[in-house]
Amino acid sequence: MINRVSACLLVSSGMLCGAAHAQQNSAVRSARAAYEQLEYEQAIALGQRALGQTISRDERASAYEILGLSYGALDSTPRAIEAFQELILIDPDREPDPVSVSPKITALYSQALGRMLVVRNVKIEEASFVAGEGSLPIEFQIPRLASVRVDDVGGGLELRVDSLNVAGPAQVFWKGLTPEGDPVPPGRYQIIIEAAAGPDRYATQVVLEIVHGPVDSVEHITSIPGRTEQEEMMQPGRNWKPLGIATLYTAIAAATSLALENTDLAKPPRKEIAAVSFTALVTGLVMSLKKPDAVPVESAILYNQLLREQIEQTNIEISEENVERRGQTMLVIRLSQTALPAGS
Amino acid sequence: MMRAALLLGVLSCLYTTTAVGQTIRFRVDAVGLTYQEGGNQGVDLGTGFGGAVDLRLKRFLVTVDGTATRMVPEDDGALGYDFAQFDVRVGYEFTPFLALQVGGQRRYVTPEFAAQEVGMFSIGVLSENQLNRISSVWLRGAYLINPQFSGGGQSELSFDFGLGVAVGTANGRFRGSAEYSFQRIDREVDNAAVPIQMSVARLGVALGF
Repeated sequence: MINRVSACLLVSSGMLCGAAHAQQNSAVRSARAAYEQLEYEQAIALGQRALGQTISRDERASAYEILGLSYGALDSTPRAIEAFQELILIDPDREPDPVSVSPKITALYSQALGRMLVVRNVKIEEASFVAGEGSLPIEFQIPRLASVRVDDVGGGLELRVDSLNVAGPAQVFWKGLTPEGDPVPPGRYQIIIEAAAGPDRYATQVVLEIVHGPVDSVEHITSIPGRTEQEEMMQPGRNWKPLGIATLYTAIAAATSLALENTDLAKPPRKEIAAVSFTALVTGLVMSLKKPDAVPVESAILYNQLLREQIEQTNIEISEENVERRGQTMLVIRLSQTALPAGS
Repeated sequence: MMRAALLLGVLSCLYTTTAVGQTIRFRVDAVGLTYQEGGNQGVDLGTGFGGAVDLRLKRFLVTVDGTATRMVPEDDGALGYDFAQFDVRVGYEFTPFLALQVGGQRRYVTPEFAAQEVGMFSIGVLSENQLNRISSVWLRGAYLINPQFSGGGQSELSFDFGLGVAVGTANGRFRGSAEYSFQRIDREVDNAAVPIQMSVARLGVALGF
């Protein structure tokens, strides 16, 4: 249940992409103007002057960026790499725009990045899932091989999410459970990603807000999609069987009684057999003309019975699932703070 | 009044206690009867009433019926007489269409010797066929075993034969029926044939539980 409302959390100033960022500091603004007028030495001087002042993090990143670009333009490779390394430490997610920046500069930036140990492109999306059934994916990149530990700190807990050796993109999953298997209490949590390679160490963190919510119960079903109950009774067509049976029985009775009459006796009036035979024949005729009774369709009855049993069984399973769900907790994860370096 | 209340009480008990697969039916009949006895003599005609109780218990069938008729000979000047007959038949259905029946019959005549009083056992078959849910027809035939006569004599061949039809409500509570039965007894006394032949028509209504 990943909620894709939120996208990348990373600080993405994108100076190298040519975006017009308003700089508060006049020295940084002047340095950028000098760089754009191809006056690289002046840009370097202004950039260094800006770094000597009290400026914001973004301004500092911009100043190092201008220095790196200008040194690169002047073919001062070591200094350019050094400036880009400082820039990467401040804003590890910043990437040079290959369209507006020369390949030479891009190569210098890549060299600087390859020498650095940082955690970049940390990506965590807002999500909600049932504790114990889902997890929160945490994505990041490490520019060179390093041992990485991902920890979750908050709510009085310090939990290890995962640890791995990785170079390049990586993904770990946080289940939001305590060591006892219970859902973590609601509150603020820090996801700390710490990379270590030899003496180099780097850490970054993302702050999450965890909220507990109820798990939706599943509604019972009254039908199964694609399957409908069939008519259990069928109206048959006209049936002459009653008249046939009545005629047969009457004929047998009349013939038998006539054949077995005792001829030594006077001929009887036979009105009894006549009256009852007439009644039987009329009854047979009326029952044949009468609209037949609907008859049950055994196959439909069996089908419907199986269908109802299946629905009943499904509802029993839903009830059991709902009982289980009532004891579950929905973890709703919101992002409180974007990824920031925690130290290096 | 007391008898009516008692009858209602009995019927109420039956209504509430009749089990599944068990039916009891009370019937009253109007009866028309033709009776012949002796040589080539005339015919006695009679009308009267009758009553019956039919009990069906799963595959077992029990019928107890009786008729009482006033007979009037066709011959002018002959005296009439009262005729009463009681039948008991017990059957077992081997198939839905065929049942074996055994029973007994006793006939009383008043005044004595106005006609033969007869008592006999019978064994036969009953074939009932449902025309639909509310109606049925049936045929019945039975051999009469060793009839005993008030005037003596014996019979080598005696049989009883019947045809019936019934129409009722779907729940079986009410039922109207018409039934014909024919009986021939070849009685002999001192090697002289004194046959008996009888035809009975019953038109009845029944209440079932």
